[in-house]
Amino acid sequence: MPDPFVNLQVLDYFVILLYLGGTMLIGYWVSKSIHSSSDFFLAGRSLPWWAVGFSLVATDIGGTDIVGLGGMAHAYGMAAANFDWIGCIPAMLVAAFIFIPHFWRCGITTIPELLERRFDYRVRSAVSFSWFVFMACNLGVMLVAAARFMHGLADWNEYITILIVATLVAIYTYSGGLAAVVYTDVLQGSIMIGGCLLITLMGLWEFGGWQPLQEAVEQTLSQHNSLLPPSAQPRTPIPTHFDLILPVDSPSPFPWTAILFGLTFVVSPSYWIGNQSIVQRSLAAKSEYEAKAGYVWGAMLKNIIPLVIVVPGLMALVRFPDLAASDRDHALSKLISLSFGTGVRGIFVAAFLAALMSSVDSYLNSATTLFAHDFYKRFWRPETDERQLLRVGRVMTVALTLWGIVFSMLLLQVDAGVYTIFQTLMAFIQGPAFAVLLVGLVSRRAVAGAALVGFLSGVMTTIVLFLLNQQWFCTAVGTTRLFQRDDPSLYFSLWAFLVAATVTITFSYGLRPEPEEKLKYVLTWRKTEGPV
Amino acid sequence: MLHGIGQHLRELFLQVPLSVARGLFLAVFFALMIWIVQMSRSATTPAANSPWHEDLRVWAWLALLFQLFVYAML
Repeated sequence: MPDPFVNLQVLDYFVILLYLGGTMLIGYWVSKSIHSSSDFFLAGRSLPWWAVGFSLVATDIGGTDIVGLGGMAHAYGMAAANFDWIGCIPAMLVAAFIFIPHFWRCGITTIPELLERRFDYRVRSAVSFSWFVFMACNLGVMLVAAARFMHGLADWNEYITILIVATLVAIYTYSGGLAAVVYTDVLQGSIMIGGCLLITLMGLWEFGGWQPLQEAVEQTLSQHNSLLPPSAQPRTPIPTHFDLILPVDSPSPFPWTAILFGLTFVVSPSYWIGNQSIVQRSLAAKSEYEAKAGYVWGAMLKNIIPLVIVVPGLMALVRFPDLAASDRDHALSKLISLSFGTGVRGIFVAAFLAALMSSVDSYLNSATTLFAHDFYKRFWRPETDERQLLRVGRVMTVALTLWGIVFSMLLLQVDAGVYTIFQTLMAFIQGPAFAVLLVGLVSRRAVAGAALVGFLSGVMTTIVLFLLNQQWFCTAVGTTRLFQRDDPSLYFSLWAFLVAATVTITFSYGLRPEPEEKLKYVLTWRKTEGPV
Repeated sequence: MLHGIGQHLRELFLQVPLSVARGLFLAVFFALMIWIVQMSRSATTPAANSPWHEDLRVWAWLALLFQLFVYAML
């Protein structure tokens, strides 16, 4: 088989440098208006709705999504699109009209800060610490995505890719804080969507349209299935690569039960309502309406994301039907390398880098915000002034960048899909953190002690379920794996959420109710005006 | 015990036809559309006399309508 990797040409590098130059220019321009910690962490609460919406989508669609979802689409088809459709849009709209206005009126900087106002500092610290660890680890995961993609596309050295990307992101996040993150996200989101759309349209043009692509995918799959031994033949009716709703016994990680109960009802609301790196930009909106509008605009943008990421994954399936599972993260880069000319490859690499950098910068800034507000200011220096907090934010930005570089280099040794690593990390805390937040916001009876026990029970549940799905652990304790699929992270989150919510509610009835001052942070169904 | 619970749930959900599952997916979007359309205008516009395009219900509805179409077709 000939070497599939193609070196980028001068024109490709020109396009990439143009994008990087634009990003750094925006970062520099924004950094001139950063004078206080409020500017650094919340952009001085001045963001317009269109920037919030673009930033939400750009942050959500990271390098892990382009690489991971493209690979998932290659393996399992359109069902991967569930993550961006039903796995985003309903939760974004619920967030827009119920939760985000409440958060904005509370005037908080971090979600854990709201947990302290509603419960106590222990719940705040436990949730904040968990999110901080997740974000710090996720920095490494995203840098690995960059390294693997560039290696697949142009045979770039993975370690050098990590160093370059991390350094560039750190420079503008260090100088411009959240404002730089959000305004560069606008550029990055535009390039990401535009670049991927161009690839999709050119690919469809080559195939002759949607119908020929569909026929080519189905033909590829039937040829592939006919080579399998009878015992491995799929049952009938065979879900096609164009089905969004897959049966419960589907070999993919996306059976409809996991998508509906795990993704739609738990993981997605947790992400859009409880994830600091997502919610932070809406807290920085210039008005409550702008915060809501940003989420609605983001939901509209989300409609087109799967079309520009998942469809190229299907094209890659036709081109490379025999790609091994361990190589599926390279599906898109191979497609771009072999199917498109110079210049277009540069646009796609720029789109990928844009997606990656827009997520890395958000996690970097949000992890810094959690550390500065929920730990440094809360416990060590409550009297700290704005300038000192700004300095802490910047020092932490550098420290986390260094950590991300080291961790990503360690992760390079792990042979697993980057999207799977991301989902597993997320599953550990997302369900329990959201359960505590949700119960606290809707129930006047929920109390701090119960919330803490509920959160810890949820995290423990995820860890136990995770271990019971590891072959080495099952062998050691003499049992068989609990789940019948390789990547049940959606089920982890679902069960962890249910356990955390049940424990919180049950224990609350055995403890003394919270005082009235705590209960003013509970959601009310009537229209409220002004700060909480 | 966990294996038993998991197997029981699995068999239970295997009884649900995919057409019913599709109905549940569509019901999520329907429910949201009904909820959004009955919201008060004051909760979805910046001011009382805002033009129609500033009403967030319009755009939220459009996003859901596209989803309804996609999940009905694929």
